[in-house]
This record gives sequence, structure tokens and C-alpha cells, in this order.
Amino acid sequence: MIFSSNRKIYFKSILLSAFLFGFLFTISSTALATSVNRMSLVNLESYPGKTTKAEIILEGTDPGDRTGFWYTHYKKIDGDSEKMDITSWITIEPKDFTIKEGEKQVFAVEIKIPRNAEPGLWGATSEEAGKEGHSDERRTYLIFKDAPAGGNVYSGLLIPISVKILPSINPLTPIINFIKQNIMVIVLSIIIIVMGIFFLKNKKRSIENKKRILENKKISLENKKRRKVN
Amino acid sequence: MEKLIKKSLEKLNITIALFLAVLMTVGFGGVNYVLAANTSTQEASTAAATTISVVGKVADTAVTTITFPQGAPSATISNPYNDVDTVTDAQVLSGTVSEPVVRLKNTSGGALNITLEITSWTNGIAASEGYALSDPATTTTTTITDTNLSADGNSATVATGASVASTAYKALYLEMILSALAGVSGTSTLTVLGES
Repeated sequence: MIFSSNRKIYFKSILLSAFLFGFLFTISSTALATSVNRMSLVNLESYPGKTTKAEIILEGTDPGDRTGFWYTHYKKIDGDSEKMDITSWITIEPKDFTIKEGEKQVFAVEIKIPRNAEPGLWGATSEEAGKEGHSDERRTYLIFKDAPAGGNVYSGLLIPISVKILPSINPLTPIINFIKQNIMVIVLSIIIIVMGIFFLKNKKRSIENKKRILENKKISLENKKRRKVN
Repeated sequence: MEKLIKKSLEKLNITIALFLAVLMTVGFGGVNYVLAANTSTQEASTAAATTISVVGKVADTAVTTITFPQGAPSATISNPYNDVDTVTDAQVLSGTVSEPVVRLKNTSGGALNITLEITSWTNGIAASEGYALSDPATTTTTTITDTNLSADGNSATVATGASVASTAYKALYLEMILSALAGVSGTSTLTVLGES
């Protein structure tokens, strides 16, 4: 009897150990990678001579530390125009990183637009380049890659990047936009002001008229008095 | 009579001005004329975007290094191994029992296209390097094109055209041809890049 109960306990402990071991193994093998908060940086709007800024965040999901770096890449395709390679415009800080599990790191991306850059889309052939499956339309990439410490096998992600350069800013544009947006209010205000001026003028005129009438009355009364005295 | 007309015109003027002022106030205030609850809440979310994990042949353990065993100058090395499975469980090219050097696991929320990148092999050790990607269940990989990763042992970025679905795996086979130089050793890094 005692022997059989011991056997049961022994069997149960083996089962429990196996379960715990399996559970441990499952946890350790969930993710061995680095996450990023955005898969593309496309259609960023800017002007010639200006600098556009963006932020990108990496999160470590590997139980061990991963060391890596950022760089830019141009996917050369025959027949590409000069607008496709914008790698020299891009800087990312910090460039190198070591990321721990659960840690989040923020990286600042800066795109310096040359003064002589023509308006249009640069870095991709289409504004659709950011969509999934539109790899053929992408040319300039921001890439991060990392590896476990001391490793020679890296993994990373290709993040397409493109800029929409708009024509140079007209200094009157904000004023014109304000007028366009508030045209009704502005017209109504003008009407009210004009009417107000008319109203004030009329009032002034009527006051002057009244004064004149009073003066006339005064004069006529004085004349009457003089006549009576005479 | 003239006075009466003047006065009434003045009053009309004031009335119009007041009316316009009210109209302006209404315009600025952006009065909302919704009379019934005709709105509903919408929700959406995106899955996490993560890099492709380079893992062992069986276990999901991160691979740190891939090693090509020593060979004679100009020899083709087709049995590299990783640090997880070790030299005792190297890559096998076979028509029946082929095994990759590593597996690529997509832990991202969506499918990823695979791009492979290598840095130049140091000391001119490599004449060329090639790869093959297949489904992990496939055990009939016998040959690898020796030059499709790097035709001269220098750095290269190759869009493989292969895609790996979310949570799925791909088997990666590698092969290199050593240069004619004798008694040298060299290194290179391999990068597996994902693209949505």
C-alpha cells in the first residue's frame, strides 16, 4: 500500500517537473528579436533648405542584450532618376545601440533638404511606397540591424523613407490662408464697420441739424424780442 | 415725415447690424445642430513589427555564429554549422534528408520579405557565396547556387524574393567557395533583413 502511494507521488512529481520544464522552455523561446514602432517613414512633407525631423523607437524582446546600428541604403534600379537616392540627406542619432529585453530606445531621424531640391517626391517612385507589398516602389531605406553580443549573424528591418518636397513657402501664404478660411466673418465684419460709420455720420448730421434748428429758433426769438422792444 | 423716415432708417440700420453680429457669433461658436445620437465608436490596432529571428534547426534558440569548416583552397564548403546545433549537427544537402544551417522565424505581426546581406569576407578567403531558402519541411535540397549571395566574396545585398508569413519559418542553406589562397582564415557577417 505504502509502496503504491510512493509510486503515485513519484509519478506526479515527474509530471510536474516535465510541465515546469516545458513551460520554462516555452517562455525562453517566445521572441528573439527587436521591435520597431513604425515600418515606414514615407511622404514626409518639407521645403527646400529645411530640415524635417521624425522619431523612431526600438524595443528589445530578446532575453539577452543585442548590439546593433542604423544605416541608410539605396536600392539602385536601372533608369532611376536622381530623386531616388536621398541617403546623403539622412542622419539618425544615436547611430549605435545596445538594447535589453523590455527596454525602449528613441532615435531621432533628421532629413536635411538641400536648397536646390526640386519639388516632388524623393526617395520612392510612388506615394503608395509605404503600403505593405509595395517594395518595388521603394528606393531609399533606413535600416537597423542587431545581433546577440559577439555574434556574426544579424537580423534587422528595412524601413522605406521618402520625402514630399513642396514649393518654397510664400511669406503671404499664411495670410491668404487665413482670409480664405474666414472669408464670411471678414466680409460680415466689413459690412458691420461700414454700417457703423454710416450710422455715426447720420447721428452727427442729425445732431448738427438739431443744433442749427435750435440756433435758428434762438435767432428768431431774439428777432421777435427786438421787434417788440422797437 | 422726413424725421420719421430718418429715425426708422436708423433703427433698421441697428437691427441689421445686430442681426449680422448674431450671425457672426453663431459662425464663430460652431454651433452643433446634431439632434440625435448618430455616432459610434471605432477601434483598430496594428500588430508588432519585429525583426526576423535566426534560430537553430530544431529549437527556437537564437543563433550567434555560423561557421564554415576548414577546406582546401578553392573547395566548395557546403556543411556550415551554427553555435546552437554545433558541428555535430551541421547543414546537410541531400535529396532525402537535407537540413538547413539555420531557420528564420518571423515573429512580426505580418508577412516579411527576406533580404540577405553580407559584409566582405576578410583576407580574401571567399571566392563566392550562395544561399537557398525553402520550407523547413522540405528535405530535398541538394544544390545551392554558389554565387547568388556574393559573386566575388565582397559585400552584397540580395532581395531573395522569398516571403515568410507571420509566426512561420524558413530554412536557410548556405554554401561558399573558398579562394585559392592557402593558410588563411576570414570572417564576414550575415544579416537577415525583413521588409513589409
